[in-house]
Amino acid sequence: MFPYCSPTPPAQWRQEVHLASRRWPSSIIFRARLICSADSFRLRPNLARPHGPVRTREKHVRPDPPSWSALARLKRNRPCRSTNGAAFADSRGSRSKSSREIDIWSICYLGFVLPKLTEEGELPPGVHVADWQEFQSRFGGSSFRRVWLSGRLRELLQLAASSGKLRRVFIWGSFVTAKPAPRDLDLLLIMDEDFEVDGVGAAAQAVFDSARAKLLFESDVFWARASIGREILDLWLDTYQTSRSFRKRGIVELELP
Amino acid sequence: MLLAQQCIANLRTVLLEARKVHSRQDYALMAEPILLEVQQREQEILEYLSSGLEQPVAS
Repeated sequence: MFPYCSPTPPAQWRQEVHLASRRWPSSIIFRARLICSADSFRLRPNLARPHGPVRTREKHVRPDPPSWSALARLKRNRPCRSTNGAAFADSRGSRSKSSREIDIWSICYLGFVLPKLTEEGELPPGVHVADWQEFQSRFGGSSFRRVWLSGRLRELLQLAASSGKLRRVFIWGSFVTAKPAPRDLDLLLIMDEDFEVDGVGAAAQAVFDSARAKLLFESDVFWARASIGREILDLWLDTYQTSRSFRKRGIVELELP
Repeated sequence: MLLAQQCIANLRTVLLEARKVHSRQDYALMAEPILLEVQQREQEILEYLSSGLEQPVAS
């Protein structure tokens, strides 16, 4: 199941981690990224931001960001072995000194970020975070059609990011299924609160015009400012997790570099 | 069916809230694909509901 079963993390292993605290209910976990080297591991600061609702391992996550002083204490943890083969580090000995600190007592990093597809060829329900490299290796190269569409997607995201206001990207639809020839791309771009379409270059404006985006990138592009709020975004994402056949499915949040 | 109707209601809520935080021009751009999505999903519900009602014209 897991590509790495050694209790010692391999060098430069970047994987998703789940953080849990004995102060929280057992259903609350954080998702973050861990950068491991042979002798230490640290969390990437920009990934300690709060995520939207995420269902992973049948748990619903609606976290607030942990304090960095608490996360920094994870460096002192000793990695050990969990029963399922994933590396596991435990820090039950550490105690918070301030009420703002979070007493994180366990950290578990997984071998896969994107889960296996279901029997229907779809991701299991939830919002699954993946970086570009992983997303590309999983969905971008198994057929000529997928290679073509991932090229379109890359160009579209480069244009959207050229505004400097791109905050989050979600992808769903046939491209994140097992279909060898997806029809098109379906994505949602969340932009900064002060984003204005008129403020970006002419080429990038095509991304935010659904008709032009369909023609140029074979994509159904949905977008909004982040100021719509987390609750509305959750509602929106929940809608896209329902397929046209009225079945719940997973979507991907593409991690921005 | 209820799930499909809930999805449409969700999209309408998104549109209502988006109207508050986008300029008129930006709202027109961002709402277009959502309105199309609502239309398509409503069409699918109608097709689903009417699929059992079709009667042969000639006997």
